Amino acid sequence: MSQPEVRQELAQLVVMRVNAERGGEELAKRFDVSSYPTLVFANADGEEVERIRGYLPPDAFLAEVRRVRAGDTFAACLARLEEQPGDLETLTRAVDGLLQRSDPEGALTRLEAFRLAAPETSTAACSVLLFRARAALQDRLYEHAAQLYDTGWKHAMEVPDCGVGVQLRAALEQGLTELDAAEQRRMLREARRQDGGALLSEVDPGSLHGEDILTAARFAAASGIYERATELFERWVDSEGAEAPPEALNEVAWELYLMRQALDRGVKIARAALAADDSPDIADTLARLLYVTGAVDEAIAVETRAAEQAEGKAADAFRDVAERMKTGLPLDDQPEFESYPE
Amino acid sequence: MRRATPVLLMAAAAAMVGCADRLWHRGSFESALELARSGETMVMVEFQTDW
Repeated sequence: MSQPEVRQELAQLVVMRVNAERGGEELAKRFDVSSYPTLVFANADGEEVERIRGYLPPDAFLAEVRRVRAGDTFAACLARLEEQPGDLETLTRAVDGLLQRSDPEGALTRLEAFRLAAPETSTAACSVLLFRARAALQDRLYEHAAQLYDTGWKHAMEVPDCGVGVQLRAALEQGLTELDAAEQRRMLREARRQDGGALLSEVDPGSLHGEDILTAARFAAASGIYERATELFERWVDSEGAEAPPEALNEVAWELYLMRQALDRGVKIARAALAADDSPDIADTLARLLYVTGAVDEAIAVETRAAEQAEGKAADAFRDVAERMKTGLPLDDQPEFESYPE
Repeated sequence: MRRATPVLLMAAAAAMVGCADRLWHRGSFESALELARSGETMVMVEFQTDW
């Protein structure tokens, strides 16, 4: 925002900055903002017309502001879809936006309207959109179930009958909440794995491209289906090649480490990420992968260097890991699914 | 270690300077809306935290 061209464009708007935890709580609540930074564009009536999450490079940010000022907003996209529910391009943009705003129900409503308006159009793109919306809704249902499990099921849980969370619904109907905690955990994990597998089997793997492959891989990992997750993560790396951002490669390598899958491939991926971005976070990923594949000396050297490069709590954590490696202790990091629903 | 920052977002926080300059509206959201109404434009609110 310090660039003259960006400032010139922003000068056409009323621009304000709010600390969502110090004085801006009410406004953040009003616009349901929960990740930071987030930019909300509102019309003069105070209605949101667009939002951008995170920082963008100046050129991309400038293009976004110009688009919003020209009226080509998310709100306008939803209005257009209301008039033309069978327009695939508008649907795609609307579903993207709704999923970014954590509204999978809204996305599914538009997808159903699309199906009714354009029954002859059964494209691969539409099936991927449907998968993404269903996967997001299912993840949310299982997170909600975990919260209720944690509170001893103080509130009843209802699972909508829309082909999502089918096993969760069945478990609840079979009296899940009356069972002892260990049995509840077992049933919830099994239901999540089965429901995850069901959704993944509905999407044609060949129709997944780019970021959608990563989305499916993350969903598979969150559902405890590690072999499928591994296959998808590896496919994404193969498809992106040298173009893959190091942060994303680091994420993939980290997930493989957590799942203890394709570890040799994980080492290669982490090395590629570190070659592109010599950051302590990536070095830590590589070091852990080296350690669990038996390359202990190199692991200690890489982790020690990561600790020297890092600052604050991360530096302390990396030093601890290096010490564990030196004394031959195992690394017990696990995928989140292993502790679900705790 | 998994990074906290989203994959696709570029950390341009270093460029976020000049918050005391005239670009930024210093009043309430309601007063920003008033200005937007009179100028026939819209309001952009940047939400952030200390983190």
